Amino acid sequence: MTWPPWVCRIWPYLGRRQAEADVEEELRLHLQLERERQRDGGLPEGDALRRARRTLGNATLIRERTREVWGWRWADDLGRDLRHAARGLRRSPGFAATVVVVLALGIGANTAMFSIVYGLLLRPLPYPDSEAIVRVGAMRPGLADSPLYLTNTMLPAILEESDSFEQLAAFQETSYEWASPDGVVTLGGASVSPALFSLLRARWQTGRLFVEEEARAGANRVVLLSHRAWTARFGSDPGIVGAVLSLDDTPHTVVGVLEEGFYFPNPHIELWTPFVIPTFTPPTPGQAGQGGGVFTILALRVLGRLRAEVSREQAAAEVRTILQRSSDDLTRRMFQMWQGGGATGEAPEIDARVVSLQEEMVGTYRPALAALTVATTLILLIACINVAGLLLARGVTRRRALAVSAALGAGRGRLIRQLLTESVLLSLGGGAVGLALAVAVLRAAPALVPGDVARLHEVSVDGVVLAFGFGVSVAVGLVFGAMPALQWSRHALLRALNEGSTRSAGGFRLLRSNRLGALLATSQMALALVLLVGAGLLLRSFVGLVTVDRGYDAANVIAAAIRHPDLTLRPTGMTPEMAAGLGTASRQFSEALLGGAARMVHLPGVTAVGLSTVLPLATATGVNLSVRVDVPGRDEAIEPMPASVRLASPGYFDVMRVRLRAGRLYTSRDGAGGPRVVVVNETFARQHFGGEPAVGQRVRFMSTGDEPWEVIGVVGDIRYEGLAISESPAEAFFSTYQVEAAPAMLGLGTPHLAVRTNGDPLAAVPFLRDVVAEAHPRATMVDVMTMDARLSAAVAQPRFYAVIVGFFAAVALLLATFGIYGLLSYVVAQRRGEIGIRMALGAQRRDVLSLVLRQGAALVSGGVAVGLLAAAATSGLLETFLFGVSTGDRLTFTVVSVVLMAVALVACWLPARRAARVDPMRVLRFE
Amino acid sequence: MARPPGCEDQLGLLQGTLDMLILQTLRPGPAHGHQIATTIERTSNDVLQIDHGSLYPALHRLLKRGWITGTWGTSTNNRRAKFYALTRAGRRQLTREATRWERMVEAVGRVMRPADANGEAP
Repeated sequence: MTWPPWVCRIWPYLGRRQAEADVEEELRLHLQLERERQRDGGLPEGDALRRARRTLGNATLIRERTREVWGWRWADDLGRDLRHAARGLRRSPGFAATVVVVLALGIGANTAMFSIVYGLLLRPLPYPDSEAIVRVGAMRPGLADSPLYLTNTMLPAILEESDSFEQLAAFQETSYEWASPDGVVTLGGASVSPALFSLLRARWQTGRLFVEEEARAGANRVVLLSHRAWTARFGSDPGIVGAVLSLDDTPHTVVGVLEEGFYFPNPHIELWTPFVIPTFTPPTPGQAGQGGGVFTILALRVLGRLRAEVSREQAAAEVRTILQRSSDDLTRRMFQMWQGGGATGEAPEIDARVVSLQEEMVGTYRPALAALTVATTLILLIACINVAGLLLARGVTRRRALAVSAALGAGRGRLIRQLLTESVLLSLGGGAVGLALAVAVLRAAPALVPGDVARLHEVSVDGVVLAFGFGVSVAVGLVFGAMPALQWSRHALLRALNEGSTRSAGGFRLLRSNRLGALLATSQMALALVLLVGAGLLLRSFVGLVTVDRGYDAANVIAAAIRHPDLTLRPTGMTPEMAAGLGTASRQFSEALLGGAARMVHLPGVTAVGLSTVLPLATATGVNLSVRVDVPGRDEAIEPMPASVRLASPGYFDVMRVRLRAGRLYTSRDGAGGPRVVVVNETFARQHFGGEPAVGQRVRFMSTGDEPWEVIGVVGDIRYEGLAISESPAEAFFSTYQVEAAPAMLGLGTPHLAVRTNGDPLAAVPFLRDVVAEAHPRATMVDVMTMDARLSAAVAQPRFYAVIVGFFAAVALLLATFGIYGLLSYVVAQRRGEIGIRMALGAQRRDVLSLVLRQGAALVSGGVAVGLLAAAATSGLLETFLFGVSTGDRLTFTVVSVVLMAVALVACWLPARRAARVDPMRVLRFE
Repeated sequence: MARPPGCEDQLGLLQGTLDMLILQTLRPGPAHGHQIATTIERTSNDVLQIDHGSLYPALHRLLKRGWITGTWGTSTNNRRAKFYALTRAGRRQLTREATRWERMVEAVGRVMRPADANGEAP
């Protein structure tokens, strides 16, 4: 039979040995046939064979040339080089292992970092044509990085008039209490405009998506499930569509399940409901000024899909124009207040911003990723230089072997190729181990990284990451392999054959013949210093954060947010009647809680119990109401300033040990019938009364009517939001005993119960649970945490940065120290003879010791000098992460330099001592 | 050692011509390496002497390009030999090369005998 041509084309590649045997057989046959031919032509047997051989020519050459046809020569050489390199490395396993480990650290750190950067910033979002998806928001002019919100009062005009968007959709994250067969479960959810799914080009597994009508008030309640919720919570029930779920005690009909892998806005969301955006009825002028009426202005997160050919800037300009024309005065003021601005006389201007969704989701991580990328790159550089140093030292010991090869005629290119093969082999080994390391790190990342990093779940080691790791490995191998290889010119190698006999006279400079080694050691020092400075700055900042005066005492305090299902604010339209009903229910609930709290104080171990709508570092945020304040009798031209209003029982101040700066705190005696009293914080006092004493002043709050409140006390500011934020909002505390008179809706804030104990605060949890259960059977505690745990969570991120950069810095310090230790040890060993002669001629041990130390110190200080410059140039990258420390902090720079020098000098001292112990007699005899 | 008779009349092969000759030799049917070499020599009345050493690399080159196939078979005197056969692509290639060759011969001829080509007397 005849093989098809393609088989003939590839089969030599499949079985090379067979292919070569075939050629062999063909040649044998050819020789035989030719011999027969010559014999038939009349030549005697012996001549016939000789003639046949001559016709055919050099058989080996024919074989080689045939092989070349198939391109095997290259592979042969490579195979030889690889075998050679592997043999060499097997002979020095310690060296090979060290190099692989050092490189694995560098390559692993960078591969992990790259997969995170790639997964977060570079890879498009998992929605078709995701680059056209944007977030739209309004803001005060000049406030470039405020959160992106539009209000329900702004949206209709934009929907109506804008030409920039194919679609617009609002969404809001919430959570739902699902009454599952196994009890109540809290599910992460989002209310979304029906248009959201088509905007994201979402596909669904079963059922259907929402229709517009379902987002109208009074429509049937429907719900869409995520694929994960469907599989994990409902066992992939094929009959799920049409099922009715009880969410927040309201029946919702399941209309569909989204496709596997679809998420929005984050993977924790298990279900979506239609967003019923409340319509806004402007309040009558009386209501606006005096309060009493309830109107809903909601901040909405709005997503848009840009039309083709429309840029983000064009869209923003259009939205800006629309908003400036259409927004009413109240919206503007409300908006102003949300963004923490002081009100001015005129209705404030509104600016607009359009940002790509991806940027909005992951843009905030950019500074952290940039800083960490620099850190990992530095580690890789140090690893490379370290390995180059090792290779250099090894190369010098192998110089004679290489010189022999060169003398036997091996070309320089060939030798360099062989050396590079070795280094690339090593770096690929390092890359493989590094990749395993990266996979392990990435697997652990979601648990290690504090907080919820958007898209982190999408990060994976895929083809691109593999290609990156492989590319980096090869590049690294070529770079660190080339450094020593270039030093060996053929000439230098030949000279090495004569080495060991004589040495030129002149000054005794240890590093004379090791300039490259010295350069490598110095640069490692410099790079390590950069990382150490970064770690030092982050550490100082972390310590500063932990020790900052927070304004309260966190020890032995436990606190929980109390959730009452009827009192949870929902983004649905609320009539004044509903609000009034809620107000009554809320008042009854807080009275029940207060009663429980009063009983709790008498329990053993409990020293104070407080109820408050505000809690430092709380994650469950409720209504944070900010109202206008004016001081009667003050010049009318001075615009009233807004202040955050809180409701707190007297016990709250005892629990938190808030400092009383002036006057007194309210007590239970300042009751409903008594004079209206209020406690303010220092910022409030400063903003409203300047230098005058605040106690005794009278203030009016918007929506509490005309009757003024008397300031009876001033308390110290507290860092509520984060520890790094020193600016406190102006605050006014109303007593829970005067809740009826307090600003409207204040009673709807999330109540927090806080308990101070004189032992382990966790022991108070059962008491808390009882109090809450007694106050209302369906009330639950959420976010139950000790204040210490809250503090720890609040500093998790700075701690994470300090730990990770500290780890890199420690590795860098270790590598740099080994680098300089290795270099000096090697040099001392190499120059033993010379040292011995000097000592025989009368040099003291002390002289030798100081000689080596001096030269080591010169390297170290050179490295520190360069490193300080480099650190000063790059520490700006850390600016956003630092608290209370400048990027050029002198103390950090000094301490870090001293530490580095001290460690490095110890590393120099060991070989120096070895040099000083050289026995001149033995050396002389040996030479 | 004495040169074979008529050595001075033998021609070295132009680069790349060997491939064409091999393809041409295989046109009537499959043949093994030695047959190809002797066929070329015989048909050219021993003017073209094949360097037997370069024959096998050339065959492998053609195999790699897919112009011929190689299959083990039994020769006329019952010996195992590898028979090469033209593929369809090989046939096309032969046509191309033959055309090119003819054009070149014609062109070279014209240069060497310009008078005849131009039809003018010198």
